[in-house]
Order: sequence, then C-alpha cells, then structure tokens
Amino acid sequence: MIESFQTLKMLVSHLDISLTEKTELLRFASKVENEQTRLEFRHLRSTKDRDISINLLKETVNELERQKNLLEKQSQQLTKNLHALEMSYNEMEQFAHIASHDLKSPLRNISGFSKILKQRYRDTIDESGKEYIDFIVHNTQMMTNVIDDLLIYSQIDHEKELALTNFNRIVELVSVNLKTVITDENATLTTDNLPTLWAHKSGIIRLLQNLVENAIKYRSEAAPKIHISAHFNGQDWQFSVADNGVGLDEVYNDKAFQPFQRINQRDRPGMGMGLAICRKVTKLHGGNIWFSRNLPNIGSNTKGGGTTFHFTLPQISQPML
Amino acid sequence: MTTVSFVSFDLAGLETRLLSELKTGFRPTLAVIFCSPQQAYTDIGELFDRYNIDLMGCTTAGEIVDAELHDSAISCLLLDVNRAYYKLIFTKNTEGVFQTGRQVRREADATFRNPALIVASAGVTNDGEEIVRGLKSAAFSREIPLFGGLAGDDLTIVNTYIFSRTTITHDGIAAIVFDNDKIEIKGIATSGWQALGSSHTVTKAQGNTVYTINDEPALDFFIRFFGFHDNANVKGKQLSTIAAQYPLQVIRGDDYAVLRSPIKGNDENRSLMLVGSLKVGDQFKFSISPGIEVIDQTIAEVKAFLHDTLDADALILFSCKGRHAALGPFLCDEIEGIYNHWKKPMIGFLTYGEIGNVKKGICEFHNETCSLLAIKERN
Repeated sequence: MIESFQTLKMLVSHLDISLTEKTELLRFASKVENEQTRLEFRHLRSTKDRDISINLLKETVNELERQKNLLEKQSQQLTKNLHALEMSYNEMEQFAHIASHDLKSPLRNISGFSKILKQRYRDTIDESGKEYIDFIVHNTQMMTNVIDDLLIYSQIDHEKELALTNFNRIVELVSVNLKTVITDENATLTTDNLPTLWAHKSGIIRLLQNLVENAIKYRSEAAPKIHISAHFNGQDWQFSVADNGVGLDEVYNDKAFQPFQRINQRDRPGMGMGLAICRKVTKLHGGNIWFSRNLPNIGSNTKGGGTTFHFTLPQISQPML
Repeated sequence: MTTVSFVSFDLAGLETRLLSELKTGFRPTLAVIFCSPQQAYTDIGELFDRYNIDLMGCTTAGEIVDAELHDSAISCLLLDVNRAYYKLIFTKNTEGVFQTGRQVRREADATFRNPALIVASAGVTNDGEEIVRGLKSAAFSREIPLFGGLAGDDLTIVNTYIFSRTTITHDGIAAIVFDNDKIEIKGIATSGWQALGSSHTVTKAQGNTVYTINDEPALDFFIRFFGFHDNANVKGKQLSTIAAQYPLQVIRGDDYAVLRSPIKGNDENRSLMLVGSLKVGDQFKFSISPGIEVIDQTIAEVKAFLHDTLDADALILFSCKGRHAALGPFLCDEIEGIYNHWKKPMIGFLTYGEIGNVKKGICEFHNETCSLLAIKERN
C-alpha cells in the first residue's frame, strides 16, 4: 500500500500543474495514506483481539468446567462423608441409648439384692461387711446417675419439633421442679421479663434447670441469689443466668462444657454432665454458651462474686409446620 | 512560572532553540529532557551545564511534545522555577533498586516538609515494583504525589539511561523533588484496559519472575490462554509480540487493579518474566484491550480528575510503549486530546513502565497506563 502511495506521489510530482496544486494533491494523498494506515491497524487489531478474546473465553469456560467438575467431585465426597458421619452418629446414639437401658436393669438388681442381703443377714454380717454393702449400694446409685445423664444427653436432639416457648413460663416450671432445693438452700430466683421464642421446649427446660441447679450447688456462704435476664443483640437473643456463688475461673470456659468434667468442688454432688447437656441444647438451636466471672462486691467477704452463664439462641421465625 | 516545550531532532537544533529562548529574556533554571537513544544523549548534560540550567533527562522509546508523538527526537521542557522550590537527586544503583528508591525518598523527605517527586529510572531488567516500594518506604508510609517512568531505548532492550548536567548512568534513578507547598504536582495514572475471564492465582514466584500459575508452568499457562497450544514449538520470545497488549490485571483491592505486562518467557524453566514483580498468592485476570474507544475513556478520566488544573504551568505525560503497540497510530489521538484540553506546554515519553498515583491517591507501578501530571506554581 505504501508503495502505491509512493507511486502516486511520484506521479503527482511529474504532473504539469502548478506548485500549489501539486502541494494540495500531495497533502491530500498523505491524508488518505494516513487514514489508510489507521484503517489497516484497526482491522488488524480487531482481528487479533477477536481471536484472542475467543480463545481467552474458551479457556475460561474450560477452566470453569474443570472447577465445576472438581467441585462436583468434592461435593459427592462430602455427601458420602456426611452420610457415613450421620450413620456412625446415629449408631453411637442408639448404642448409648440401648447400653444405658440394658445397664440400668442389672444395676437395679445389684442394688436391690445388696439391700436385701444387708437386711436378711444383718445378724451374721459383721460391721465391715455392712460397710462394704453400703459401698456397693452407693456406687450403683452413682452409676445409675451417670446412666441417667447419658440417657438425657443422647436424647436431647430427639426433640425434632420447635414450639413457641414462653421463657417466663419455663422459669416458673424450673422453680417448681427445684422447689425443694430452693427452699432447703434458702435460694432466691428472679427474672426480668423474658421473651417468647421458637425453641425445643424440653431442651430449654433442661438447660435453665441445670444452670439454676448449678448456681445453687456451687453456692458460697451467702444465700444463693440467681437472676435470669435476656436481651436481643441484633442477631440473637442473649440470656444470662447470674449467681452469687463461689465463682468459676474463666480459663475453664472450654473444659467445663465437656462431658464428665468437674472443674472443682469435688465434694459437691454431680457427675459433670450438666453443662455438657446445656451446651448440646444451645448447639442444637444454633447458639453458643459460655460463662464469665462476676466482679466481687465491694466489702463482700465472699470469695469470687459469682458466675454469669450466657447463652445465645437465634431469633427463629415461625418454622414450617 | 514560565514554561516552554519544544521538539528538536538533533543536538544542534536543541541548542539553537535554547539560545533563541534565552534571547527573549526567558531565564530557565530547570530543564526536563526525554531523548531517543539515537540522539547524542551523552552530550546533552554538558550543553545545559554550559548555560547553568539544571537538568533531569532520560532515554525513551518515543517522544511526546505538546500534541505530537515523535520518533528519534528530543523533547524539552524549560521552566524558570525558583531554585529554592526544587532539588535534583541523582542516584546510581549500588545496593539494589529498592535501596535506591528508599534513598531518593529519604532525601526528598529531608528536603521538604511536603515533597512531590517526578522520577525517571534506568536499567532494563530492574523491577519497577521494587523501585516504587523503595520510593514509598517513608516513615508512616505517607503517600505523596509520585510520578515517573522507566526509561526506554527504542525497544532494543539493551540499555536505558538517565542523565543530569554532570552525570549519566544506565542503572539508577534521577528525580526532581518539588516543594509541594510551592509547586503543586497533581496527576493520575489510568489505563482503560478491561479484565476478562476468571481470576487465577500465582503459585510460585520470585521478584518479577513467575514460575507457576494455578500450579501450572507460567509460560505454558499463558500460551494456552492465548491460543498457541496447538503449536508445540512455541517459543517464549514469541510472547513479546502479543503480551504487551494483553497485560495481566493484578487485583489490588475491591475496586482497582494494576497491570503487569509479561516481557519474556523462559523456554527452559517455562517461567514468565514481567516488568514488575508479583508474589505468591497474588490474583490476576487476563485483560483485553477494549478497542480504540479506550482513548476517549482515558481522556475523559484524566480531564475529570484534573479538572481543577486547567491553569497548570506545564504537563508531563508518561505513556507506556505497550500502549503504543496496542493503539498504534491512534495513540496520537490520545496525546492530542489531552494536549488540546489544557493547551499548556506538555512533554512526555513512551516508557517501559509507569509510576503514578491512582484515583485513591495510592502510588503504584504500572504497565499499559497513561500517567499524566500537571505542574503549577501556587500563588
């Protein structure tokens, strides 16, 4: 193309016309040449851009396809793992349930026959023998308690249905259930106005009852005072159960919620399952549970100042029934 | 401040024009020269020294003066700026480009409370990203107006040079540090290149060499995406014919990316050398030049950002050589469009990499961009 323009320019220079006319013609030829160059460049660029764009898109689609296949494979593997996990979890639950049931009956027999033995042969068994029998009865009772706790623990997520749960009413039920211990220990249980939420009702009763029971069990010298409150934090309802007990060190925030963990005060009754059950209930609702140590009251001679247990429950809208 | 810009096609012409400016009574204190390596760039320093004019200059891959782009020319900007308002810094690379950049920045910070830098760097294999990292390594990482370009050598990729009145080197940084309280420097770097496709991850890299992308050898990955996978004999060097026009868009934040052009493929270890460095974990997308309309987009963007600089005393434009390859003769339209908006003395050059602040004021090292700055004496 440039050669033809050069030829054209040469032709113009040999034309028998005025210099002005030649200059004008040459300027015009240069302009056309310039435009031609631009058009050619634009054409080449467009062609190259098109080819490369197509390839880039093709490779991007291939890449996405590869990623999709990989994701599908991972998803299949995940489903498989989930299924296996579900099966082993169900088996474990079933095992715990059956084992507990099957263990309770022989335990009852051991305990019962031990008592009969002590009764019928009270004249022939010496004091040491009677003490051993008491020891057997006491330990079978302890084992029964462990089994009962395990049964409760394994049955928590059997409650599939959510129910509209009035938490004020739940606290009233807890007060009734714990009436004897509350009276015996001269405890006071107070609440703010609590919300009504969709929740697993029996689990919530168990949760609050365990926390109140714990507050009384780990009391200080002062008469137990327990206060239950709740506030909405913009996402979840956060409940607090505050007591004036001996206080629990916050370093045990993880350990305290594991099954059969007793942090301190081994002289107090219990198998260390109460807080594990509380955690299972909150997790079942998609919430969390933890505790914080209260600051001691100024001038108080009690150790600690008590503990506040906090748990969250998501605000669930009405479930599909 | 009075400023004059002009083009010259040889050293004699440069001196003639300088003398004619001096005859008018104009007394420049500072000159900025962007010069093709085909010109006698080694003698330019001596010329300006004779007339006691401070000088910052570098070699180029194309010279811009006002509305025009030239080949094999010398572009010159003369300024009669008060010598108390600026300082020239000239540093050779002795301990690596990062340290050189750091040294320049320290000197700038020590000279003025609010410095602004215009820099030119020489060294064809130097890592532009490291230079900028050094230039930004001030206390508290304070961002300042910081613009410039990597010198060129008309695409021979052998040696690029920076020079002053008395010194010349093929490996170092020349800078003008302005007192930004007296001389306002404001600018923007913009590209217009569009991202295409999904993002990819750098999985092995050191400096400006990328070894693997998505765990695949970087050169093979790049070639595959650009459609040469049917040709088993493809060589890394073929990459340079296309790569500059389709840079990588390295994702820097939610709303901006910096461009990185591959310059060389290594056929033996299948790595890819870029103009600036990338690190493991960096994510990028490929880009496609958006067509000739990118020019209008760029002009609109610089106009909008620099709308309050219409009374600038002078402009300096650092435009990527790769941009020239992508836009061909249309790049002249971009230069013309910018000049016609301000109609102020403007020089610039086609670079091997640009330095400039993006919209958010963060300075980055770029490829394929147009980095424009306006210089104005404050009242």
